[in-house]
Amino acid sequence: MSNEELTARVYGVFRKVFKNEGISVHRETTAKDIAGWDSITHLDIISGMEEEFDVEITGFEVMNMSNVGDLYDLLTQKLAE
Amino acid sequence: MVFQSWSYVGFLLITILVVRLTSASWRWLPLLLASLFFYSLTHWGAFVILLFSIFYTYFTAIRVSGSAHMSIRYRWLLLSIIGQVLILGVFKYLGFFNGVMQGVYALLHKGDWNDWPLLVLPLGISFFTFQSMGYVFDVYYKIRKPEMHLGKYALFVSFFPQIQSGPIGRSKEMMPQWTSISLPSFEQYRWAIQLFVWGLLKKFVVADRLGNYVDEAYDTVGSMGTWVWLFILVLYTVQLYADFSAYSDMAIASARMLGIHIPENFAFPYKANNITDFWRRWHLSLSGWLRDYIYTPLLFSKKKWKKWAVVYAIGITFVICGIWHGASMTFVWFGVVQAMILICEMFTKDRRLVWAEQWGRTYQWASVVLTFWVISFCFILFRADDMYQVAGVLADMGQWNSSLLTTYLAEKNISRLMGILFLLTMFLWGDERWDRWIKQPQMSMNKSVLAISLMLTVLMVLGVFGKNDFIYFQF
Repeated sequence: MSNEELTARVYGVFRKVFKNEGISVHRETTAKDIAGWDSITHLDIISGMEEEFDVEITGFEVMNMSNVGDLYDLLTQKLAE
Repeated sequence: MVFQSWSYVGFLLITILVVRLTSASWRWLPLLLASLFFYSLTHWGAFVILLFSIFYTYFTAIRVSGSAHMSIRYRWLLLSIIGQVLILGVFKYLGFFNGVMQGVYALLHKGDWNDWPLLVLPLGISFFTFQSMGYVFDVYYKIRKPEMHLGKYALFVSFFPQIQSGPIGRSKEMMPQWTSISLPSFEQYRWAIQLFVWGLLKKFVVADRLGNYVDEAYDTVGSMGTWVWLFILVLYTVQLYADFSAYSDMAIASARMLGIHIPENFAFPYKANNITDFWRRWHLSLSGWLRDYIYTPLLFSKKKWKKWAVVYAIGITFVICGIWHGASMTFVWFGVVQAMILICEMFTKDRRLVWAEQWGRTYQWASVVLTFWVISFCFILFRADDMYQVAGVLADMGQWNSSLLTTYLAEKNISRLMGILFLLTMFLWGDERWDRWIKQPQMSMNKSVLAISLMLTVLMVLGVFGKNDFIYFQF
């Protein structure tokens, strides 16, 4: 999967979870940068990514993420396995 | 040695002087020696427990990181956490355990339970064990590498401005600071002195003054009726915040004078518009700790349960939050009630968003007022000695008898009560304004001197002196 496709699909999950077509997400984005990104939303984002990419993300991996860039990297690594 | 004493001021000044005379890379050493000396004054037994806790978590964290196998890492983590929980259990919760066993024995008609002897309760044990547990979790989650320098790790656990009542430090924020400690500038010292005096003012003028009325009310439950109790509930809600935020400000100010940055512990909690928001503003170092090390792992361990995973995680997290505060059923119930409210809020989130859009500022104001009252009622569980006293307060609150209010007003001198109401209004209305003004980094010299002089004058005129401890010392 190309980087552009990965980015577009990750972006799609964020739009769906936040119900916001114009949402702006980049590698440095953290939960503090987007209003309404609480733990329940976080759960929806992770579950959304799992469904979208057919991968499993563990609690340990979630604890290691500090921004959207870490999520991209994790997905890239999982899709390459 | 409490912050609001001359001996502490002297101790802090000597430490600042020695730190200033030491080179940047060695400043951790006088800080460590000062911290160990500071804690050793509490009780020799408590000091031994602190040392044990430091060594135990230092070595187990190295073992956690030493293995590539997740299962072995996990076993070492478990061993480390169980050890720390046992320390907490033995030294803090034995009395609670005895109480539970007495109840069980009475229920089963098995005679009397022979109480296990109580041991020394080390000051700040809940704070330093959580701080060191957080570090071991960070190593396990690979958020940081283990600290190999025992002295610097010992300083992280025992740093004297934090050890008695927090804020609970996080390894990724605190430990990098030990490497090279920069000396504060003149402006930074001035800023820290302002903050320290602001803490003294909140403690002596607000918290301890209101505390006298609250203590009296809880000592004579049964004779006050609805209106007086509503007044007392507000007083305690403000007292608790003023007391704990005063302590936190003085801890932050002390650390800043030594060149160390400690994050804020409060974000104007009584501006919260629901209880979820309240926990994002109240005791930030504890709520952040619980969120990162208890709530999130629990939530994601059951993520297939969707919303029920949240119910599960909130339930367990807030029972732990309650028990952390004290070895009593009142705190367990405090946690349970918080969890129930948070779960209700989660299920009504969408509906409340619609209301917020429909009613705008009116809804916002009504939510803030309602949240304040809800938390004031919850704090009965926080303040009462036991569940019998909670029941007594609630029963007394059921007496809608206005003559009880008239009697109270006559007894307490109405002009004094008006003064208290004025103090409350000033504090609640001006909390954010005062706080931001005091903490502004670029205040001119003249303004700063004026602010410190004004606060000292208010402190001397209106301060209530005599009470020594902060409320959170009991935790």
